[in-house]
Formats: sequence, structure tokens, C-alpha cells
Amino acid sequence: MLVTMGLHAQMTQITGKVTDATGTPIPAATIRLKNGKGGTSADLQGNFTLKAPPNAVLLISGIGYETKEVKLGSSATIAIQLSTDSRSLSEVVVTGVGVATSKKKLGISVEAVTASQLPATPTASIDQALIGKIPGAQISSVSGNPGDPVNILLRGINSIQGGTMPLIMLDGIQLRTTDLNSLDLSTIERVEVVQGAASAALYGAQGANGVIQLFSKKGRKGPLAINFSTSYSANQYINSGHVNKAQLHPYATDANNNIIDGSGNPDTLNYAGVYPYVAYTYGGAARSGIENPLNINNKPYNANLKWYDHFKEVFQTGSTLNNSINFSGAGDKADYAFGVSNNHTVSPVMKNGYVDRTNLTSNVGVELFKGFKLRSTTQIIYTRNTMVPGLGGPQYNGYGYGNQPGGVGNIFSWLNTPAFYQLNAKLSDGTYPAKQVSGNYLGANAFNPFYVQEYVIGTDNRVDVVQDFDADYKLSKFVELDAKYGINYRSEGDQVTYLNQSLNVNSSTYFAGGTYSGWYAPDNTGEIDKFQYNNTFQNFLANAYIRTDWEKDFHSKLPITTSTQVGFDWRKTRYTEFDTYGLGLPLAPPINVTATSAQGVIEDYVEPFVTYGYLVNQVIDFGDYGGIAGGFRSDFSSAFGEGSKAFTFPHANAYFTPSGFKSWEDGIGNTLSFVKVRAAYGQAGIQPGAFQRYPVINQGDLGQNLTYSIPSTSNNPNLGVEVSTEKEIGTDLSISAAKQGQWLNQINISATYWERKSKNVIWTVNTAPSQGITGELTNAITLHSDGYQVQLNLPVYKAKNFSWDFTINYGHQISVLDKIQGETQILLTSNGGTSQVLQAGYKIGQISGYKALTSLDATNQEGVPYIAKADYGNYTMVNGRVVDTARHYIQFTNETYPIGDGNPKFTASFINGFNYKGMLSLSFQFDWIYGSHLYNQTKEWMYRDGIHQDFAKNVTISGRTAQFTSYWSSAYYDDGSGNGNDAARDYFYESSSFLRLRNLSLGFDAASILKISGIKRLQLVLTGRNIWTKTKYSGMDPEMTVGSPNSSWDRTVDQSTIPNIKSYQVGLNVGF
Amino acid sequence: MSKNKLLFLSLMLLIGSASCKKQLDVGNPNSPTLVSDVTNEASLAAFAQGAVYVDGFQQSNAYNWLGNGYFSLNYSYSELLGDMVGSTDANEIVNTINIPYYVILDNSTKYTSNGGANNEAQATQLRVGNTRASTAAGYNPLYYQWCDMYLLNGSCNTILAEIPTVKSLSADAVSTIQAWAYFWKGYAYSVIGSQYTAGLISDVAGATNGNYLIKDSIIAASNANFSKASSILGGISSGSADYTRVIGELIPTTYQGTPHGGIPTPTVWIHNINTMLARNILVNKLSPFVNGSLSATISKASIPVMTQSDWQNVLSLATSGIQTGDAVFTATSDPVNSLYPTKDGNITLMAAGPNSDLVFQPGLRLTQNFNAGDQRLALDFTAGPADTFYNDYFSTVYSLINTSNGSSTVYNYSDQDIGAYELFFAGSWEENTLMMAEANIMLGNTDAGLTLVDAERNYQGAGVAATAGTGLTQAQAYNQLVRERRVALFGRGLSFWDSRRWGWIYDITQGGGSYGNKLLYLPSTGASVMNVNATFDYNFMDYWDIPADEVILNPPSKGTASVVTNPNY
Repeated sequence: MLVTMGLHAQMTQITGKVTDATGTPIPAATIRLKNGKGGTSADLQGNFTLKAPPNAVLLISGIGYETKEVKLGSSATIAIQLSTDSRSLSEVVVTGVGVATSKKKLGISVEAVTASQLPATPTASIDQALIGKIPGAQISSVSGNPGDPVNILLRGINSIQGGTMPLIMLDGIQLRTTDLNSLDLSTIERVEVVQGAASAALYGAQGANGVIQLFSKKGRKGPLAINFSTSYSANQYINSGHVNKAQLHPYATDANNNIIDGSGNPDTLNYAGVYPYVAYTYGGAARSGIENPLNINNKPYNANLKWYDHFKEVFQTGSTLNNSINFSGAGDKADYAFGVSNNHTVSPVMKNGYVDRTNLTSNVGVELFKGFKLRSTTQIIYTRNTMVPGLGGPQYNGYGYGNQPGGVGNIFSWLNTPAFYQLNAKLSDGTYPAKQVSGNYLGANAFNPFYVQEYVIGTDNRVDVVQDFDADYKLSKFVELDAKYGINYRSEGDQVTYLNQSLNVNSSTYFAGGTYSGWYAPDNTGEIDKFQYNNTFQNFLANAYIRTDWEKDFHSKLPITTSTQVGFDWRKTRYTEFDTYGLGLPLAPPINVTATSAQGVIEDYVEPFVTYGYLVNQVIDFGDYGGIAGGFRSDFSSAFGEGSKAFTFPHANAYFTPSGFKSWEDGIGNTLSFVKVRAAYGQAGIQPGAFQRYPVINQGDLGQNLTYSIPSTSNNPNLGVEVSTEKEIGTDLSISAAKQGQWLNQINISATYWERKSKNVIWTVNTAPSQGITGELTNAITLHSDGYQVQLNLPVYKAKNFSWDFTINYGHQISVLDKIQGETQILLTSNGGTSQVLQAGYKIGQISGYKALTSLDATNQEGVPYIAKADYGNYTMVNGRVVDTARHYIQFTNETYPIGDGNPKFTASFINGFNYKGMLSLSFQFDWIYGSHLYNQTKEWMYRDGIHQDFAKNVTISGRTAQFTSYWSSAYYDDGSGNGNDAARDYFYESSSFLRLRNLSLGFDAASILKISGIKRLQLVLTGRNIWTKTKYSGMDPEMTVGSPNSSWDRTVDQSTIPNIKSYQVGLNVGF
Repeated sequence: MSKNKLLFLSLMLLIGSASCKKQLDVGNPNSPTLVSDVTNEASLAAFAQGAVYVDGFQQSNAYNWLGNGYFSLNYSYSELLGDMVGSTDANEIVNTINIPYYVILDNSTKYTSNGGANNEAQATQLRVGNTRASTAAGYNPLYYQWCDMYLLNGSCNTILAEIPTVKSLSADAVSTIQAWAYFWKGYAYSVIGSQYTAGLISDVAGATNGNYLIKDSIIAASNANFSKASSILGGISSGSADYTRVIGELIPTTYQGTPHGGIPTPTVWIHNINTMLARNILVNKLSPFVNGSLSATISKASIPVMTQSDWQNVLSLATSGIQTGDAVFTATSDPVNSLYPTKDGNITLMAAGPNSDLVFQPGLRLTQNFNAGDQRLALDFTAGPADTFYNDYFSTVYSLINTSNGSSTVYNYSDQDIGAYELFFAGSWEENTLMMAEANIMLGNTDAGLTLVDAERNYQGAGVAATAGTGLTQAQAYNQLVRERRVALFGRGLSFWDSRRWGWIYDITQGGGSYGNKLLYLPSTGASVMNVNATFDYNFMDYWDIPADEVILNPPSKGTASVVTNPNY
């Protein structure tokens, strides 16, 4: 379309074509005369004609591309190539808005990350790559166990039972059964994130936790392009706190410092790999010796017993090998992209197994006839996991739901093994001992991971299929119809074999068969457990879009454009699980279920779920000045309570762009070139559990009988959806600090403040036991959250050969519990035994525990002093805590207090990228988490037997300096006040703020130097990930902020969580 | 034109919605419901069985994780407080709940854990821990038994409510299932009234009330429910095929073949009820026997002393209680789908094996009660350096053998093989016989009582000399009875109540205490010393406070708040 302006005689006709770097036309690109009136836009093939005076300067822009200035020369035809704009404001997004919209015209906040901004992570997983990239979002890797999901907390917490996992979409279709980390990073073009109800209201009952949408790469116009990548990385667990076991001990020794047995002779290992008798110097071979004030932990292991570095024995160097090859291209009517990739990761835990993932991908689009396009995207993923259950392998019921961490119970089961045992010392028959315990008390909770590796075999095979079809028909310039159908299928079979351990003398003889590896087996004769998970998800979406442009369509003077979306969305899941076991394995092959002596069914389970909804969304834009949008979505669900009534989620948003006015452009616009303010309101939900609305009784077996019984907590037929109502306001700005210079010629800032209320949050509230049940499921809780997020994005320097880009992402958020129906406090216990509470007025993640007394006149909550004035002389201050001088015990309160919630004050990322001639690139990312805390449960467990390295540290009590075991152990043991051993105490609540070099990457592309014909890219990349951490946290990794991934409440406790890996990677990328 | 298309689209959406709505009622295909699945005798019986065994005794509360189920924890508390076992594990404070106030060693020195004044009184510790937070953290012992028994009671209320909804039942089937529900309600109230200072009577399915009643009323409710069961059973003819079939559906098949289990006839079941009625009297009155003296008195206790008429009532109930050969309520472990795990389903199973790897260790105050040559000690226990386990007051030199003792006649305290150990829910022949013996001794029929003690020892294969006719005084006879009760009924959840009624758990200043005990004392330096005449001042709370989980979520109705805590502590 040509918009004619006033013509001059001197004008010449220019024809041109606008394309992107790959030669693909940019339709509807805008061409303007820089210092005059007039302009046009390109057609679908990127062609345009324009009359312009000689030597005029054209400004060419396209949505998603950097604006380019071209000075006209003598030629009447020009070819213009625009480069894609990686900076935020020119991008086009679809997530949360339904139709492709420039970020300049959004009333909501949408974050987008393009593939080029995502680092090459060893696991080649998208979730890992997103860490630090989304302002405001707390995406963190909370386990370095291969295959484990990352923790994703976008804005705040909406649900207690539902966790924090957002809705994940691939090309417009929900990805429900396939793990995000199973997708192949090399096939992803870009990622968009909307973080809360205000922007995710279009997703209704699925949207409250926000949405992460992935877009797969399409073939670009041109001949066949081939890209090949290979990389290898070496991975080790982070131990930034240098956690280890004490290298000194307090045990009874002879004159030569030999640790002695009950008869006074130097200890020797017995037939079962055990030192049967080790005693404290004072107090003998009893657990209580550790609390004896006479024992000093000051003897070196320099005689018969040695100190072993268990961390070194168990944590080795794992590896990852990545290979991928992609083929792509496009003609006028069709495009294609195919890829194959393989990722092979060997666990750093004793190299006990691997995760091997192969992805086959295809993305094919075709325009069948004018305006009618079909697209099919496919991912077929085969994953084989051979890691041992307990040492990181897949584990048991519900694993097939996806996004589950591996079973890691035995990875740290040696934390309580006394340091004088060698974990990988074999017994005389070449097997490993199961348990290395001494004196009936030291290492009572220990278990040897090498024994587990020897006797347990795990094999998990999984096939994921993600198939999306999209049919799009542009009926007229007003109406576009779009239908999408996606099927996401996951089939997974897991077999766990516990070999017959009855020949192991440690298990069978020394521990009389009572110490062994097993799951369902009642003895050490082994078992085979088989788990078959199937999960099928279908998603159908039909949308009609009606667009009008009043100027063009109705010749109105008003620059109004409208877009109306009417949609229907249907989702159905069917999860099945069938688990069996066979108990009692022979000692000789064949080792199979047929050979077992008893068999049983663990679970035969099916879970159907259906939801569907309608959507109406109306958008009205007023030229470049502003716009409004609003609408609603109504959802039905099989999980909604009685009657299955629809729930309706409304939304509305608006933006105002003062920089769109002509007057602005000429004035302040020279520096503040773009200004937008926006505000949005929306509601979205989280579905209840599939069966939570059905009151049922339990069915079980008692010996040979089938029984029914009453569940101890009851379901609720009237259960409603959890609703999150959010308001956000924000601004997007571009500042042209030095318009023509090479430094800071544009600064982009996006900032958003948001607040929300989550109502009808589902939880089981406790009931009085005399009612016959202990709890009732209900919409019990009200929460509120708020926070802000800022992204600052600036090309620091840009010259012909060199560029420096810098991005800061900054966010803060809190979630507070307001009210619980009928209760003041909900009590939770994380896996590790740390008490966590949900309490009105406190943040989610609150830990409840005992406080160390910090002054002699401390009183309890009723004002009663803990220590009588007359007894002050019996106490002294040590490291800021009251300690009794006789026993050296730290004094704690006997009432619990909220001791902290661990939530960070802010999270920030600093991302720098340098590029020289497109040949040499350097990028690095620092992540800074400030003000966070962790409850160091791992350390507390290591205090139990005096194994932690702290026990070798001196402490001064009443003028005497020594390594008193009684002092250190008093942080673990009940001092007689009745609060129990291993109780939550503020002693173990530590700052876990950290600054981490998340990524450091150096790339060198030799293609431009070597100029080998046909090779477009020959890039060597060296990458380091998580290679440097600055923290005061004394545990292994300050980032282990959650007990279970994506839990709303099981956070801020380090409970032998698996630390992140630091890795060094070398990669080669070749493009043809 | 676009209007038509829009209309068309809207129509499609409407059709879509109509077809979709039917899909929404997916139900839960994995689980049955009371309404649709408990509809006939077999399914009602399956429910009545699960309501008792699963809800009451298996995994009825989420916080119970020491061992597995009711017995491993609640029977354990009884054996810990009766000073039969010790533990070093902190779970559910099993390592500290039983710490005595203080101990006097053989050399007359006072021994406390903290080397100084008295240890914290147990009542203080229990009260500090009686918060809902503490329950959640697993440190509130008051919670478990309360919770389990009220879940059992609640489920029995539901059984009674379900009976009229099942139309096809015969009269005897109705009676049998009613008797079953009333019996277990009687059992639940018996446990609550014997353990807690007060309780609630909750007889409506799914409901409760805030009318807390002192323990005597709860025992009365127990007796009333037992009597109801008894009178219903009395109305069933002895040869009723319906009864035999239904009771066979209620008691799990496995337990019908155990040595003492089986299917009780209505008459045998009434015997079982009589034993429980006798127990309700016996364990809830004092029979002070401190330092070998029958004239001991306890100055401040929550219960009165047994009167002669109480002893008469116990004697007459026990006389019509469990007879030789009567089937009683027992369970054994199954290879799969077991009520309890074969290695840790009960306190004695958890206390069996080499001491090094156990939650509980059998204590010296248990083993000191065996007379010389008792085969139960000789065959079921091992002693020696490898069995020595140090744990403050609870150090021991014994291990309990975790498999068969090799004898077919000597009672086996523990056998971790599948199906080998028989666990008693309620009364047993031994308990009933020893109640008769005790009542006889206290009514002055010393030799008649001793004859019964001897008979019970023979029954368990003790292989010790008879005591009847050896001229023992009443106090000496009672001492034999006390010693035998402690060893014969070890692991059946009665030890704490026995220690209480004999006065041992009360503070010495109130006339309590336990004298003449063995104690392996480990000084802070030097070798351990075996004491044989140690005096224990336990100073335990005699009847427990109501757990906070009940009181806070079900506040006392007007005027009943004062009864939820034991006024004597």
C-alpha cells in the first residue's frame, strides 16, 4: 500500500526490498523520510516503492528489527537488510496477548529471551539456560543431580499444594507431560515469559503461576542450512562452604594415639568391615559421651585409624557429551527445520549411571493456498536413565507425572559415617559393607553408597512425543481463523532391581539381615520393582481474530486499530500408573520377576482430567499513543467442586505512550525516545487436584483380605479453583543518551510493580481427632504477594567491529500468608525434619524453632526469665550465645519462635556480552541473590555424631580454649528442656546470600578467517558454568533453596540437597 | 459474510460445550465410596474390618513414623514408661520421655543425667512438648494414642451408621457387625480412659463435641460399649451360621489361623469382653506395692486404691473372662499387605536383635524379674559383652533374640520371621489368669493366687519351681505376681499402667519410687559398675493431659476446660 504525500517535481522514484540477514523478506516494514513527510510500508515480499528527493535519508524499521538509516545514492533501486533487534522494546510477543503484538503496544509485561541470549548449559536444557534471564523471576537450579528439574518461581506464590511451576507452552500448545528440561535447547528460537495473573489471564484456570512459552526454530528462506554442534563438559559438585568431616577426634587412645577397643588394644577392622568398639575418652562407648564436658576433639588420625575424605570418594567428576545437527531451509510456500541431538550425562556421584537423551525434531510449515497455512512441529524424545535409585535415579510412585527429582536418599547417607572409615574399602569377598558403625552409636544413621551402587540397579526408559498441528486461515483482511491441536505423550518404564544381599556378611551376619537396600522387601533377599507410567495430554485451541484498522478500512480520521479474539480451549489428560514388585531373588541368574518368591501389585491407578474454557479478548489501539484491552475467560473443569460450574476470570489492561505524540518526538524525544506507562489487572487460577472433590474411602489389602477404610483426611465436594488476582503497573523507556556516538546510544528500561491476592488456596486444615479424621481439605488460605522487577538493557558500546552489550535484571518479591480458615497455624515438616509453618502474618517458607539465648536476662514469651539471677555465675557468653560453664551447653529457649523465612531481599543478574568482528565473543553472567537464608539441616545432622568439621574448631569457655565436643553437640542435642534432639534451632539458620559467576563463555569463529567455501561458521566455544561463588554460607551450595523442586513451602532448608554442578565445557559449532 | 462465519463458530463452540460438560464428572475410578460400594454384607464387612484394623491400628495418623502403626509407638511408650526398654533414638522423644527424676545408686549417691539437681520432671517435658507445633515436629507423645483411638472410635461410629443403609443383611449379620463396632468403641474408650486424664464421648459419625469428661466417665463409656456388645452377642444363638460367616469376614483370614487367634463364638467373645472389663477396673485403681510393701500409700494420685469389692469384681469378671483355648484378638504379619512390618510392627520386634542396630534395647529392669533358671530368659535373650549397650539409665547387657528361640513350649517374645510373632490387641489368657491370681492374693487366697501364677508360668514354659504351697507371705506372693506380670505381659502395652498402679511412677516424696533395681552405671571415667539395689524416682505424670491438637481445634465447652490437664501435676 502506498500512502501518497505531497509530490515535488524533483522527486525520484525509488524501489527497494527489505529483508533480514538471511534474505527473508520483512513484510510491512516501514520506510520513512528522515527529515520530511512521507513514507510507505513494504508489501508481503518486502518490496516497496517511494518517491524521495535526491540524497534523502530513509529510516527503515520493522517490528522486531533494529531501525536502519540509509542515505540514498544515485541508484533508483536499493536493497536493505535489517538486523534483528535483541533489545526488548522492538520485539513482537504473543504470550499473554493472543496475537502478535509489538512490545511497544503492550499493556502487560512480557519478557522475551532469544536463543542467542541463552547460554550453552552442559545439560542443554532450557530451564537451566533461563536462570537469571528473566527479571523478577526466581529461576534457580536447586539440584545438580542429572535430570532433576530446576525450581521456577515467577512472581510470588499462589498455591500451597500446587507448587510454583508455571504453565509451559510450546508454540501455543501446553506442554504438560514432557519435562521442560527434556526439550532440546538447540531447536528453540525464543522464549517468552508472562509472570502473573494480570498478564496470564488469557490462560484462565491454568495461568496463575504465569506462563513460559517456547517457540521452536523455523527454516529460514534460502538454501539448505546445516548446523552441527558438539560439546564436552566436565562436571563437579560445588562445595563453596568447603564442607568436610573433622580431621581430629575425641576417642580413647593408647600411648601411641591408636584408637583402642574395649580391651585397650588398638582397633582393627573386623570381618564385617566394622570397628566394633570405639569409645569416647570420657564416658565410654556411649552416645552420651559427646555431651561430656571433658571430651576434647583434638587428636589427629595419625596412628591405626586414618581420616578419609568421603566427599572425594563419593563426589567425582561427571561428564556431559552433547551432539546436535540441524537442517533447515525455506522456499516461497514452505519452510522446514529438522534436528537430531543427543545429550549424555554421567552422574558425578561415583559415576553411578547416566542420563542419555536423544531428541528428534521437525518443524514444517506450508502455505497450501493463499492465506491458509499449515504447520506441524514434532519432538520425539527418548531418554534412558541408568542412575541407581537412591544415588540419583528415578524413584517410584508418581515419578511419571514428570518434573520429579531423582531419588537421592543414599547420596548423603554417608554424612554420618565416621571419618575413620574408608567408604570404598571392600570386604574380603570383594563386596562393600552396608553400614560402617562403631561402638553401637557412631554412625548409627550411616549407610554406604558403594554398597547401594553394588546391589541396586535402575533402568528407566522414557519416550516423549510432542506433536502440534496449527492451521491458520486469513479469511479476509478482517478475519483470521486459527486452530491448534497438540498431543503430548509420555510413556515411561522404570525397573529397579535390588540384588540378593544375603551373602554380604555385613548385612546378613553382622546386622543379622536387618541392614540392607530395598524398598518393598522385608529382608535382604532382594526384589524387582517395575513401574509403568503413561501420561497423555491433548490440547485443542480454536481462535477467531477480527481486526480492523479504521484509517485503512473505514477511511476514518481516527488512528484506531482493533483486534478481537474469541477462543475455545480444551485440555484433557489421562495419567496411568501400574506398579508391581517381586520379592526374594535367587543368588544365581536368571534375575527376573519369574524368579522371585512373592509378587504383588503396588499401584494400579488412572487419573483422568478435563478442562475447557471460552475466551473473549478485545484490544483497541489508538495510533502510537496508547491502547486498552479487556475481556474474560470462563473455565469448566472436572476438578472443580460440586456441579462443575464455570469459573470466570476477567482481565483488563491499558497503556499510554506519550512519546507517540509528534510534539514529544521533536522535544524531549531526542533523549527520551520512547516512553510508555502501562497498567493491567487480571485473574487466573490453579486447578485443584484431579480427585480432590470426590469423597472416597480407601481400598487396601490386609493380608489376604480386601478392606475399605476411612481416609484420615477428607476430600471436599465443594472445592473451588484457587484464584489469583493481580494488578501491575509498569513502564518501558528508551533513552538515547548519545544519539550518534558509539557509547550508550540507547538505554532500555522496563520496570513493573505488581501486587496480588490469592484466594481459595487449597490446603488440608487440621481437625480435632475426636471427629474421627485429622484433617479436611478445603479452600482454606488467603495469601498476598507483591514485588517489582526491573530490566536495564544497554548497548554500552557499538562500533563497526566491536560491541558491548550489558543487561541487568533485578527483582524483589514476597509472599505472605494472610489468613487460614479456622486455624492460626498450619504445621509442616520438610523431609529433613525441620519444622516449617504456615502462619497468618508470616511469609511462606517460615521456619519455626528454638532460639539460642543471647543474654543472661533472656525471658520467655510470658516474660519469665530462663536463668535465675542467682545462677548468672554459672553461665558465660560464647560467640554471642549464653553457654553454661559446667557443661558447655548452648542455652536455647523452650518455646518455638518464627526464626526466619529465607526469602531473598532481591535477586539480580548482570549479563555482559562482547563481540569483535563477529569472530570473537565473550560473555559472562553474574547472579546475585541477596538477603537469603538457609536452614542448614545437613550440618545439624553432621553434628549428631560430632562428625562435622566444626568439632575440630576451638572455642573459649570461661578462659579455657579447646575443641569441646559438649559445646558443639549442644546445638544438636536436647539440653534437657524437652525440645528434642535435632530440633530446629536458630543456630543452624544462616545467611545464604551469594554472588555467582553463572556463566563465562569465550567463542572464536574461524570461518571468516579461514574462508573455507561452504562453511559459514566454525566456532570454538569455551564455557564455564557456576565456576565461582562468593558466599558466607557454610554448606555446600547456597543455591539449594528448596527441599522439593517447585514446592511452595518446602523451601529454605538445606537438607542434604544435591548441590549444583560447576562445569567446564568445550564446544564446536559448525554451520554449512 | 464474516457475521455468518462468526455465528457458525459460536455454534461450534456451543456444541463443544454441550458435549464437554458430560466429560466433567470423571469420578475417582481408583477408589470406592461409602455410597456406591458399601452396599452388601461382604462390602460392609470389608469396611468394618478396615475401619478397625487400618484406621485404628495401621497408619491412621500422618506423624507416626517410629516403626509403623499403633503398636510400635504406643505400646513402646508403655514399655518405656514401665522401664522395660530404653532407646537412644530421638524420634518422638523415646529417648527422654522415660528419664527418671533421679536415681540413688548402690553407694547411696544420687545420679542424674545433668550431674546435679533432679532431672526435669517428666510432666514438665510433656507439657512443653504439648503444642501443635511439637506434634508436627514429632515431639508430642500425647498425640498418638489419642489420635489413633479416636480415629478407631470415629470409624466404628461410621460402621454403626452404615449398617441401616445396607438392606440385605440378616438379623444376625446386623448383630455381629454391631457387636464388632461396640466392642472396638469399648476398646478405644478403655485405652483413652486408662491413659488420659479426661476424654470425649463421641458417638456420632463425623462429629465431635467439646464436652470434656474426666477419665472415670470415659471408662464408664468403655464399659457401656463393651456391655452393649456383650448383650448383643448374648442374643445370638451359638450355632448361628450367619454369625460364623460374618465374624469370619470381619477378622482377617490370616489371624484366624494364629495360635491364639481364630473365630470366637459369641460366648468366647463375651469372655474377651469380661477380661477387658476386669482390666478397666484393675489398671485404673492403685494397688500400691512400693519397696515390697503392700501397706505403701501414695499421697497424691489421680486414682483411688482398689477396694476389696473392686478385687471381688475383678475376680468375678476374670473368672468369666478368657478361658483356656479361647480365641482372642491377635494379629501376625503377612508376607505382603501386612498390618505391620514383620521387623518393626511392635515394641518387642523392634527391641529384638543385636543391640547395635536397634531402636529399643531390652532393659535390666525387665530382665531382673525373671526367676533363676527361667527358660524365657535363657532361650529368648543373650547376654555378654556383644550385648552390652550403654545408654545412661538404660544401659543393658541383654539382647532379645530376633528369631525363634528353638523351643515349642517356651514363650517367644519376638520372632521377626513373617507370620511368626503373634501380637495381642486386647486381653489374653495370661493377662486374665494373672488378674485372677492378683485378685486372689489381694483377697487373702494367697495360695490360690500363686497356683494361678504357676499355671501361667507353665503356660509360657518358664520352667521354674512352683511357688504355691511354699509358704510365701502375701507380700512375697504379690512380689511373684508383680514380677510375673512384668515378664509375661512384656510387649502388650500394659507396663506403664502396672507401674502406675503399683505406685512406682510417683515421686518418692509422695510415697512412690521403685526399689531394688539393677542399673549398669557408666561413670565419666573408668569402668562401668553393675548396681543391684538402685532406687528409681521416676516422677512420671500418672494420667496424660489431652493433646493440644484436640484442645485447640475442639475447645472445651463451658465449664469443662479445667479437666483437660491433670490437676495433680
